[in-house]
Amino acid sequence: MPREAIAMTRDELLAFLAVQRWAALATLDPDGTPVGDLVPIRLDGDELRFAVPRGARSHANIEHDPRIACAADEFPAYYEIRGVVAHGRATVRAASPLGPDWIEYGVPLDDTSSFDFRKIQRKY
Amino acid sequence: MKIPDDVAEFLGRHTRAFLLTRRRDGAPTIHPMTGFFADERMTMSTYRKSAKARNVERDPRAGCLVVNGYGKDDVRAVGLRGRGSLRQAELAAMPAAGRAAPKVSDSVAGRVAERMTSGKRILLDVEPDEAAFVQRLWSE
Repeated sequence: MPREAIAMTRDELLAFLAVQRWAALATLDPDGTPVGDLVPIRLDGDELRFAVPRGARSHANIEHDPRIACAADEFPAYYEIRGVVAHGRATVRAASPLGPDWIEYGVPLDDTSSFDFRKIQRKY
Repeated sequence: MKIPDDVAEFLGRHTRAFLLTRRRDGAPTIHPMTGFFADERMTMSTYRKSAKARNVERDPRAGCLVVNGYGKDDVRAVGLRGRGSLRQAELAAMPAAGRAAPKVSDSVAGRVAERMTSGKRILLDVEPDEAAFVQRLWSE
């Protein structure tokens, strides 16, 4: 049986991210093990922006290897679960709106996966 | 490893988890999950053929970010990093009893149990070599 199409459209994905305030961030430790962090996020046009404190582990990991993933999700009820995972290379942006103790990165939204359980047919 | 008491207490109370694995190209990826902490490890249920199971089978380096629920302004999390592994088991092996997990219907829970029994679903464990609180975020 083919898997049901529950991915968000581009417009749905952008609308979902536009109201999210934080996300889970995955970076790679120097030994290659993925590690997680909580980061504030915002949408800037078609780009996802996230910030990490200067000198934090995530900052050091991105300087070493800019490949990251960012995920935001909601779970108000099972058939209302929604989420987006964005993958890409983090690029330093101009000054962070959070102040000089933070560094802001951008990641393009051209490698994403998303799910919207509201699209699952209620067949069970 | 011995997980600090305050970290273990947090992990025992919260089930919102982001599983961290590596894709075939080595880049990190994230899988939003419901996870349960017991026996010094995080345990989640997934399909044997899922991307997350295949990622862990190919490269066991894995992590978890466990967050204090949904819809909170005071967002807190524990990060784990370590090794992921897969095991086949009955649903009863899932250390879920008594935890404040998101509600699913009986039909969804029933399907999960059937697929665990048939082997379509398996348990995915992350055994940490490090576990600690990450930066605390107030989303206001």
